[in-house]
Amino acid sequence: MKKLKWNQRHPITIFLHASMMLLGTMLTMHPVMLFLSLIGAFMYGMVIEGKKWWQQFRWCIWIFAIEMLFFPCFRHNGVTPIASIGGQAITLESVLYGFFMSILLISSYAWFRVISFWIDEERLLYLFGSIWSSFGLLLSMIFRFLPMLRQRYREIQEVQRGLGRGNKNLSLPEQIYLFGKNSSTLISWALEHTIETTISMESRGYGIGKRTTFHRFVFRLQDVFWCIGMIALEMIWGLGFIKRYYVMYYFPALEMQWNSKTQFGIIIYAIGMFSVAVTELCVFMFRKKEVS
Amino acid sequence: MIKVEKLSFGYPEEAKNALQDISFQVPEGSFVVLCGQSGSGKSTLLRHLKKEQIPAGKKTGSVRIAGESIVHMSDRNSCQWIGYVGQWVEEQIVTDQVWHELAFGLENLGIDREEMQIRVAEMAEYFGISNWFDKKIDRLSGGQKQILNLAAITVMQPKILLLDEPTAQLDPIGAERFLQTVKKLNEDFGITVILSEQRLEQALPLADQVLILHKGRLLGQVSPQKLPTFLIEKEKEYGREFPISAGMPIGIRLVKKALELDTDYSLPSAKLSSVLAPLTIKDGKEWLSNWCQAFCQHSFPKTKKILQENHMKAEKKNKSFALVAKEISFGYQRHDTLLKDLWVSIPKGCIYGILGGNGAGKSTLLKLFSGIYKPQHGKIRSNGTCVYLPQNPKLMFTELTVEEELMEVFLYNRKKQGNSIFHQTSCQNKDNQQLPEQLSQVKKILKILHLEEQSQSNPMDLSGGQAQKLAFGKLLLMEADLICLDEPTKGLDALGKKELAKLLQACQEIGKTIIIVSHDISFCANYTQYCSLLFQGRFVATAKTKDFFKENRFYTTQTRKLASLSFPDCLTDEDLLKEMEERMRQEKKIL
Repeated sequence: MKKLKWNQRHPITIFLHASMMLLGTMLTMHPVMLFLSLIGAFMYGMVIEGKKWWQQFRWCIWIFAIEMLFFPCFRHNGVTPIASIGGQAITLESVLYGFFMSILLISSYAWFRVISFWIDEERLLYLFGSIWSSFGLLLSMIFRFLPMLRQRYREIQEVQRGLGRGNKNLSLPEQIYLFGKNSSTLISWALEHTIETTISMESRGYGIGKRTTFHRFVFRLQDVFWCIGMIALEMIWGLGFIKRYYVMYYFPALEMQWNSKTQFGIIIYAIGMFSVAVTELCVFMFRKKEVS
Repeated sequence: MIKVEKLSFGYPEEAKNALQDISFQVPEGSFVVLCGQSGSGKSTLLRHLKKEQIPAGKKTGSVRIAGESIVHMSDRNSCQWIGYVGQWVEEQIVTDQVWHELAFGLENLGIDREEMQIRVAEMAEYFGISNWFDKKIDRLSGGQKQILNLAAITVMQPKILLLDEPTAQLDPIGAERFLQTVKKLNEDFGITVILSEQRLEQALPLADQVLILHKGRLLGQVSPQKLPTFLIEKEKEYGREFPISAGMPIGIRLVKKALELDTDYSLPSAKLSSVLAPLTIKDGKEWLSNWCQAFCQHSFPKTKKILQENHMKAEKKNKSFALVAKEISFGYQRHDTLLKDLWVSIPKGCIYGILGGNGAGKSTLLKLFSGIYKPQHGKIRSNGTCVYLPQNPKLMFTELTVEEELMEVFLYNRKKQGNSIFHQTSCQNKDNQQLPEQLSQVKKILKILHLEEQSQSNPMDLSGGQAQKLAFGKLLLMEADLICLDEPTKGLDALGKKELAKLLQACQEIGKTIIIVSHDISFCANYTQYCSLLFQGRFVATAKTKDFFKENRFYTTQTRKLASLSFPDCLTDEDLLKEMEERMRQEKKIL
């Protein structure tokens, strides 16, 4: 992954932006907005992952298949029949609804994927830790413990194989028996490990008083601007949302809102979706020039 | 700084006290090494110096730190002033990231963020952690993790550091770096250090004072240079040799031997006892040449020419091989091969040592031998079953008691004969008497391994050495012909190593072949017949052990380094001491 500017922002800024993108995508069924969201997410994804990004979306064809072909067979609302199966009509509205629903699902997935690059464990820890300090610590301990547990189990398995008890020569019940035995070794190891860790925690003063949390983030002036900007955008867009300016009706007949207020909302939406990706892209291009 | 008075302690349900009447004082800023064989109460004593770690049991006597009784010390002072690092590297780490681990102690103390930032940065710079400050902890090496543990304690600005065998699980390079860092802390900040350690070769040169524990009693407190005279006196008092003497570094053993031999030589002896015992190789060399001048004026050292025959070639024709590997290659990642075109043939019935640096692929090679991994290229042909004993033998244990652990082997032996493993368990549950033969076999093994007392205890509760013995017993019951041991001497003291060696030799006598991977050069020099050096995925040198270590100048035993000029035939401590005795006898005859 390339080093990106946005990744170095304060977790709160990132969190604000991320939640805005997700809410904006998931709350609306307006086709223009959905397309904008999809393009925004993909733009960012391309900046982050390059060609690898596309490989993640091969399975999306199945979403389209299910939403556009399978569901309309059971969803008979709508007024424009295009085919009929067993006397039941398949309507244009239903197929279109399925199409935009798939777009919604895919762009939500894409945003989640993008966000997983933004918010790494340290940021997650900060976000939780600032709300509830012990939970933050717990998360951190889990992040350490799980990979260790997996590594240990692999070691135990290897040892059993080294004793000539590979899975190949055992029948299924025997394999289950062996699995049980291995797990019991793993559990007793884990318990012992935990005891030692508690001693270490205690001797470093865990539980003697109120904890503070350490983090390495600085809330910069840029973060302030970003946050203010994003909150302002969100409020303007949210007002339109509450007033139902961006509603799209699919059933019984297609009916799309398209007045000046909707158009204004869409512009706001586009600014929100593309702002980060565009700044990132600018930085990216600028840097490339600098290097060459 | 630390004052211990008449401290006695017994664990519950144990008749004998683990600590008996211990009194000593440690002045501020000193570096004290605590030595004693395993089970002599080192850990118990160290744990009594930290309030949070005091084990449950009967305790009398007092421990005072800076005049304040440790029991009445406030929690905050206790965890801030007294730092503790134990031998289990992984278990002491709490969080998943290096920076968080460093900050953990400070978070607990409730220190505000600005100060934390300064302290963490300071420590990271001082310990040279800044390069891997951003890393996740599971990407670090064992040595780095232990340094991190030390740093995470030091960031709390302790006045005393208690280190309980901190290097037991580390490789030699990691251990050296750790001990040097501790010494630096001691010198730069005057932190009082109490270090319990098995690697006395590395620890003693750093120490101001040595505390010696023997069976829960404190033998005394001396400076390391005066150890030889001190040990001789105490041994006279007790009437026998302490096992700890055998674990002392070669310099101290040399002086001790010289003093013991020198009962009727009045003049040079006086000269010698005024000389302080050499702790480093450099001083040792000088001392040995002085000794030779004083005692061997008449019998000059015979410089035998080392015969550089390659015995391997001559023997290849006659001997059968336990394992032959041809052109094996292996790597964990696709483009990164760890072992490249490796050839090896291991003669039957020998103890074979494989040496090499960190990450050279030694353990991987053993795993290939025992069939855990398959080589990507080449063939391994072994004559009989080959089993693998991991670094941590506890990974092997699945049962509740030691006896069951050994009985379990029969389930799988039954499997080899073509039956299901459940076939056995069902009749075992009904009636234990049905298996008298197997039970007696298990009892026999327990007796050989001296594990009879532990036969009903949980295998996870065994000490390191005992766990290893039990694992070994399992392998013996499996009737394996080839046993691969991965770092078997890790965490063992001198006596433990000797017991292990005895066991290995007994196995060799009944015709088993043993392959050892180890960092422990002196163990390999003492007990193996052949040695190979693994470097860059190949064996760059393979020879009979004697030739192997004689030809090497740097990668060789301490004794060889020390005595390469004066006693060119000696490889191990025992050789050298024997040779000295021999020469002394000759000298007496001439006179």
